[in-house]
Amino acid sequence: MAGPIVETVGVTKIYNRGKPNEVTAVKDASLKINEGSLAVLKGPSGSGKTTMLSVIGCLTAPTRGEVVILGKKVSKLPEKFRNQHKRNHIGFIFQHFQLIGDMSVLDNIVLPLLPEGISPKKRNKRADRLLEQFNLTHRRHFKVRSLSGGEQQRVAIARALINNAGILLADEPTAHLDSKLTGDLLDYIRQLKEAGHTILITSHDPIIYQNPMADQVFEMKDAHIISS
Amino acid sequence: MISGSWFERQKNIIDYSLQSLLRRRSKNILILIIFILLVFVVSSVLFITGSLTQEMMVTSNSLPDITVQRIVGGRQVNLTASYIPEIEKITGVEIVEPRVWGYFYLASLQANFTIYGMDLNLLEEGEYQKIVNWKNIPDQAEKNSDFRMIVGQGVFELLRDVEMEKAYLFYQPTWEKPIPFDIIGTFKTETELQSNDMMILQTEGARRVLELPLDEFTDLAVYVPNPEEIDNIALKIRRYFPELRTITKAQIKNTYSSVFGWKSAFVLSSMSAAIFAFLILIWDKASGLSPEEKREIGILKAIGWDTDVVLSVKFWEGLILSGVSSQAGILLAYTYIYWLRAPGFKEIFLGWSTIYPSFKLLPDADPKFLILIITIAVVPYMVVTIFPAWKAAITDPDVIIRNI
Repeated sequence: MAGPIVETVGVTKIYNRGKPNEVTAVKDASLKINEGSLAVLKGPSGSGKTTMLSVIGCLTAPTRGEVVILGKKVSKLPEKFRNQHKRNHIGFIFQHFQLIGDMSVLDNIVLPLLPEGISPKKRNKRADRLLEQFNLTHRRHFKVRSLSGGEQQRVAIARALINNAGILLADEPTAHLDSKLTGDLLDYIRQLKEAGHTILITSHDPIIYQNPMADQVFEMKDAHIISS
Repeated sequence: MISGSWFERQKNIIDYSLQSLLRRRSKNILILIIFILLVFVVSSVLFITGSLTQEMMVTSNSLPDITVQRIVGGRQVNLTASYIPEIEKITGVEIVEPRVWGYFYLASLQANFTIYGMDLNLLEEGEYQKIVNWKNIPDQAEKNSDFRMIVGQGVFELLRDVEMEKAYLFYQPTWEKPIPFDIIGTFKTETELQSNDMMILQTEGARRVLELPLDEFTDLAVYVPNPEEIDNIALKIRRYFPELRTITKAQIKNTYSSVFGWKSAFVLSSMSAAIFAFLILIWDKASGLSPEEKREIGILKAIGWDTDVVLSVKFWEGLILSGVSSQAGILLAYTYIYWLRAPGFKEIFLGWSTIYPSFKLLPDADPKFLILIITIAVVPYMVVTIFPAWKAAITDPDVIIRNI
């Protein structure tokens, strides 16, 4: 297996700093995720998993510490460069999918490509491949809000992959799925891993963190990484 | 990683903005309607003021340089011809013309008309040919040369309604018998603002109708070739003849201008409550981002959109909405004022006139007005919409998405 593609060094994240509702969501967390591996960040609700994922996914900057992605220290980068790095290398699958419900499946999938200046023809071609891969071609022009939970999750995965990102972050991907859909999701994860993606999943679902596919498992509790 | 052109990027952003406007169509249609109404009201006032002022200015060019009136007891009275040679002696005065004019109440139409006496033979020549539509000449007119007249279009239409479009009988209960006048022409639209309620009678006939003695006149028109001298000569006339009042062309123009300016300010201020209410409604609708809109901005940021791209989307949304609304409002106002003749609005501005029916406003859309309207409509709206979007866009996406 190759060396670390994602690394955090002493990351701390404090929300509402200096205010009465100040919360330390992650404290002094360090981890290394190897290229091509499937890593799982497990722990109970409120342990800081999602915040850790947000920091690694460049959705928020750490209060202290460093995040290194593909050898680049991203946490101190100006927003524009950080976003560029994110668009180029990271795909994010959110817990509640975070799709725009009154837009079509196709429009949701191609959203990350719009600021890149990709023409409709090119982006639709890329999207069509993903629609086919995730069995969504027949839903191409459907409004997302009319889809089932499983279909919405596939749309979210397709959107995360539209930029050819090498790193995929997924926040509690099985939280809203039944056992059949969880099985389907594991199949997709397997395919993505086999395709060479580095995947980091937060979950408190044993089916994920006890899965033999998982190469690395980090455990979080009370804002700390307690084991890896 | 694939990357495209700047042009394609802008196209994508505009496309997304349009799509976003359509997705929130019920909210945006409401804003659009209110916005159009606002721009329509303000534009209508500006159009009608500009058009009337312009028309007044154009027609006032034919006014005498100085109008001289005799004042007794604070009221204007007739003056005798003895002033004419005295005023003509003042250096710089080219000619002094005595004028005969007044008002006549037509009980049957319940309207006041302006009667103006002049030598109609002069009207049949030169420049005047262009402003009169000649109708019943010369046969009937020749029969009755002292009793012929040219009327404004408004007068003509009213007289036509009572089948008197060829001849009119002036009558007062104190008179022994009516005085018949032949109508030999009407004034063209270009002069309607002043000529609409006007009857130009042959001077002798006008004296009869106005009951003006032969040696008296209503006022004097003084013509001065050098415009620089007008105020000095007016001053001299007042000094030599303290009983006389002078009104210069510039004073009349200023009065017209301030009357319309005042009226437009009055109309706008009387509508200010409605305008203010509309503004608050627009502010409320445009400035507050709904939780859905905030979430959408959070999603866009989370998938890698930069703050400036999110703001570009909001910029285009605001520009499209306010641009379309202000242009539609202006177009509606233009149609209302110039095609539909401003029903219900024109009367406010033409307060002194007694007949309104046929007055036609001539388009006078000053580009400065249009730019002003678009600027005051678009810029504040853009600020109102972009500011909350900017606030949401600079917030960490995970704060918005997770509602921390």
